[in-house]
Amino acid sequence: MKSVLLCLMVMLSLQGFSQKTFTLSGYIKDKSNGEFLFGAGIYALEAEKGTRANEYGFYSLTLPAGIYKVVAKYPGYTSQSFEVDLNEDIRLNIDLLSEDLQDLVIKDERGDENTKGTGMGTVKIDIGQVKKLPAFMGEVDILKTIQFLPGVQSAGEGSSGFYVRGGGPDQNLILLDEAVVYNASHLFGFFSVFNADAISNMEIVKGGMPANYGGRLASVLDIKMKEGNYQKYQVDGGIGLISSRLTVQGPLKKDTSSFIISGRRTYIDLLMKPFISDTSPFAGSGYYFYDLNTKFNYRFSDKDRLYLSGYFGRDVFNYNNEGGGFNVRIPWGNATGSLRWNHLFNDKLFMNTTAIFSDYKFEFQAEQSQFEFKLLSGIRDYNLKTDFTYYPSPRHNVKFGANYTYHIFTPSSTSAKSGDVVFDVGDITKMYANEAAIYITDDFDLTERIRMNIGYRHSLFQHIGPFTRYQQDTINPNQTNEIKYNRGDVLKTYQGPEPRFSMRYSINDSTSIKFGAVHNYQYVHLASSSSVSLPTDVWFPSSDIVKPQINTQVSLGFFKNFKNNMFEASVEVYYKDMKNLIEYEDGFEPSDNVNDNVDNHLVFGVGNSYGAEFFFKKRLGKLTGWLGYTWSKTTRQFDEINEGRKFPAKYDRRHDLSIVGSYELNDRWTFGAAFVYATGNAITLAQGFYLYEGNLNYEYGDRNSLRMIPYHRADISATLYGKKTKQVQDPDSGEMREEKKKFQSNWAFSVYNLYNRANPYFLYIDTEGDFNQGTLNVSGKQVSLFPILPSVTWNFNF
Amino acid sequence: MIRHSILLFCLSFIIVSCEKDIDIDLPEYEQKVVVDGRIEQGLPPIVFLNKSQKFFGETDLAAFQNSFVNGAEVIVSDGTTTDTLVELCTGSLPQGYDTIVANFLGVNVADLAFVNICAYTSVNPNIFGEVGKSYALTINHEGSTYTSSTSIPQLVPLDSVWFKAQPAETQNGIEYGFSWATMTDPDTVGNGYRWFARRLNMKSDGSLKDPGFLAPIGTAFDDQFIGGLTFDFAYDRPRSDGDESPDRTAYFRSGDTVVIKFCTIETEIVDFIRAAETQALNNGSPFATPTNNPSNIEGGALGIWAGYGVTYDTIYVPQ
Repeated sequence: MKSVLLCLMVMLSLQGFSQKTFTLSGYIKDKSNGEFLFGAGIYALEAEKGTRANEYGFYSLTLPAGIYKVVAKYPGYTSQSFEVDLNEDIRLNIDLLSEDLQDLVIKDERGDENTKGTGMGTVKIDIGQVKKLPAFMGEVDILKTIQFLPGVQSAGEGSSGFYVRGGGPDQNLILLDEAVVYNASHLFGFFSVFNADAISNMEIVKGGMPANYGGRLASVLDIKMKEGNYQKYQVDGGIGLISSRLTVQGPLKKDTSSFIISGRRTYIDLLMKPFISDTSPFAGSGYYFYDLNTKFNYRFSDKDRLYLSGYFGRDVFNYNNEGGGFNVRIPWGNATGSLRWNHLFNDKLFMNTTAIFSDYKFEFQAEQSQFEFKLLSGIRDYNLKTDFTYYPSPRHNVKFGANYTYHIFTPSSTSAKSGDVVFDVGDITKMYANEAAIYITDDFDLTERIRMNIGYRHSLFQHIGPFTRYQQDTINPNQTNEIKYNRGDVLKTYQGPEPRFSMRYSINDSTSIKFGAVHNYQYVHLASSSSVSLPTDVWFPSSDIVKPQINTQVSLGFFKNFKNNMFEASVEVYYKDMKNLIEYEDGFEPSDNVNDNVDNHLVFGVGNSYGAEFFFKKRLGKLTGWLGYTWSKTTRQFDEINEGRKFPAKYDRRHDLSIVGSYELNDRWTFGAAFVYATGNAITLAQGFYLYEGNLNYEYGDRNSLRMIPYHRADISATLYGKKTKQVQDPDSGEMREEKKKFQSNWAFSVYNLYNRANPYFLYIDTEGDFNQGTLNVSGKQVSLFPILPSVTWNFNF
Repeated sequence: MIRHSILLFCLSFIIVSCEKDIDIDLPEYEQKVVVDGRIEQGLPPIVFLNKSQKFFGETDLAAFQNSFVNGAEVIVSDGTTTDTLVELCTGSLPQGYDTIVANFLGVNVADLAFVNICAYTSVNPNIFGEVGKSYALTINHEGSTYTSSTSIPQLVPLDSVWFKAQPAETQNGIEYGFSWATMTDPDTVGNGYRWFARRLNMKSDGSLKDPGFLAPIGTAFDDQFIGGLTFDFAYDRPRSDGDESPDRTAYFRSGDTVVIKFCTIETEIVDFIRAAETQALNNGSPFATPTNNPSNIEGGALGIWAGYGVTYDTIYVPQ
């Protein structure tokens, strides 16, 4: 810890004895709508120095006094040059004009970020690109797009869940405007909660997670919502097979304040209604989800900005069986809110302070005749964080900050009543925790060829009262040993150092080698007893008996760009070692939570993962896309599972190949295609059976020792744009000229699973009949979800 | 359960899912010897030997019967007496053994002739079970040797047993309810228990309602959380094949005479029975964690060799 800080101090002080310097700083934004351009580059040509705008569009460049030609660039936008006489600190806000006003250009990171940055395993994806690719049932889904990247695996057929480099689904930190999203999927995982219309950009970090992120082991998916158009009102919408979307944005006060409201709702339930008669036993059954994104911004001045953003989404599943007097209602969803304040102390110090609320709730309500049963689980966070960006010189980019979260977990609580009689099934068991972290990181040039990012994060976690630790009596439900803790009691404190390091060595202008190492802690856990990620999976904290998960990862990469950054290529290898991983104990059934703590049923083990990722991308031109291939191996070892022998993780996938491309034929037509191939999932199946006391007992092979058949699938898409311009007569000259149409629309056609491959969702062994009657019939079954699925969506904006 | 129902509902309602039979390419399966052996105080040891079956092989009853392991050498020793068990089949039982075997199998004595099942047992009274003794089991078969050891723990009789009606269930003057008991766990650790029940009443056709003792699911437990305590507990009536319609499953009823067989067993036997019950309940569900049953047999066999310390109580449910 000390040595890292010392090192940072020395690096910073090296800059202290240079000649008199001044700072050029300001914001870079899109001229047409006022949105900040995260990652836009600004270069002082004579000084051969440059920097990038941070995620709030702010840049700061400190140079020796002098006259400079300064160029601001952002791919897809017309570059702008200025001459700047830097004999004092200068504030310069730059508006860049989009080359293509279609809002469908491939905005991308700075062209040479692949080889010049220190970031490893970091990919920034623009929504414009995502919208051109084939979409499952017409729903543009950013989480499905990132699954095409090397090192990121799909959790299963049609699933928006993902695994990164052998880590579990709970090891991904998913942030929406800095608020943690605990369950990022709708419809049992088939759709993500992110409405692409409301998203401006996203970045995934799967390798060397910088020190400003923490709390998860495997990856960070940082999603930023659009701010809303500061210049004019704009409406975007879409009508699809299963859902419709509408987004309205505009200025509340031009150049000062803007808003965006975006909503989406599925209507499978409405479409199905005509087919379910009122007298049908299933009348009233249905399923739908909806979500709503909103954001308001206010720019008080160049120095202060305020953002208020929120997300609210719910899935509602109803099942009615009037005949049996049985009905079920299962609502679940996320709500997040962030209040952000950007403040510029001076031209070198930028601050972002955010107050965040995040809530995930799952409810299960069942009613049968008089009997009512309710199950509730969820997590609620109150989070306060502050982040500073400090630009002492163009060589350094220092970030530091602090983060505090108060967690309230409801791992699982039930209530039951029959008529007016309420059953005592135990108190609502909540778990409370404090989580805090401080960090400092510096991204700096050591020499012309070597750039380093050194960071240190220190995290702390406390499981606090009130809490009741149950030690359940297995035969008499009324008999429970309880240990009670009161409010303010600290049950357990964990803390840990999290050093982060990455460096880049440039071999030449277009070639570099990077190395990264990261050590991090995860204090919240998600336990899943099945291979499918379901909303019933519960989040719970590290506690008096559950230790934090710990990860150490090293990675090494070779990066090369060709043809003036038109092509990017990289090879990365990684090794990671994980400790204190959790699984449910063998034979655990998730309903065992009455008068019990869910963490009583966990077992702990270790894991490791290593692999090589190959990535080749064509960034520019009519044809763009990428090819990603991953070779990896992931194992787990738990003393209580598989008799202590090492076994392949659920996420172990030897080969994973994705090819993604889009082609702009002309102004009207754009085509997209995707192909994926992946080694079959590791599964455990019974291989033999025997009878004990007349019951069938199974003998399973080693854990995850069998494989399903490989998964592969191709999808295609085509987008037809309406005419973008119209002929108008100039009233003065009488000449005909082209004018951009106010109303723009397109038809997006997609075909999912083009060649109708029956990919296995799960396999099981089915036993029918009665053994003792001699009629037992055993067969293997494969369940596949999606056949060839065409879809069409109509999108518009004006 | 909730998880399963959600997924099923979801799949059936929204998704065009399809299911097909497939050949699962399972690795070559090596059949294993399955031991179901037990010894109670006052009774001879009984050992059933079978072979586990591979999936997708012959799975009818005949195949299972053919899987009975004949000709094995089965030896039980209490340290003083060592006895090689004799192989007996239901068709040719010596005098007095038909009742023991019928009870053990849970069939009517008269039906014994119809089931052709063989077991290894002894006619030597010196090897009959005694409370507090340990019994070593050695099985030699086809060049393999399997060994195990169990003991009959000290008896823990129930303090009392009774019937308690569920008032809401009373129908036509007939009361329905559960069997209750009070027990005191001795102040030592590592005690295991198992509960069996059997109705002595006849069906209308004159056959026994419960030909043998039956154990409801979840009736094997250890003293992990009850060390040294005295407490009440209840169990359902165990499900019996061929229940008559007015006999609502899960309830005892007015007029029943119920014998409770309360056993002390070693905790590793508890673990095995619990695991076996969980497997039976999950029935190969793809959503349950695949878990093999533990075993106390060394040498690569499956199953359990279990000593039972047995006490009996009777509940008379008034007419």
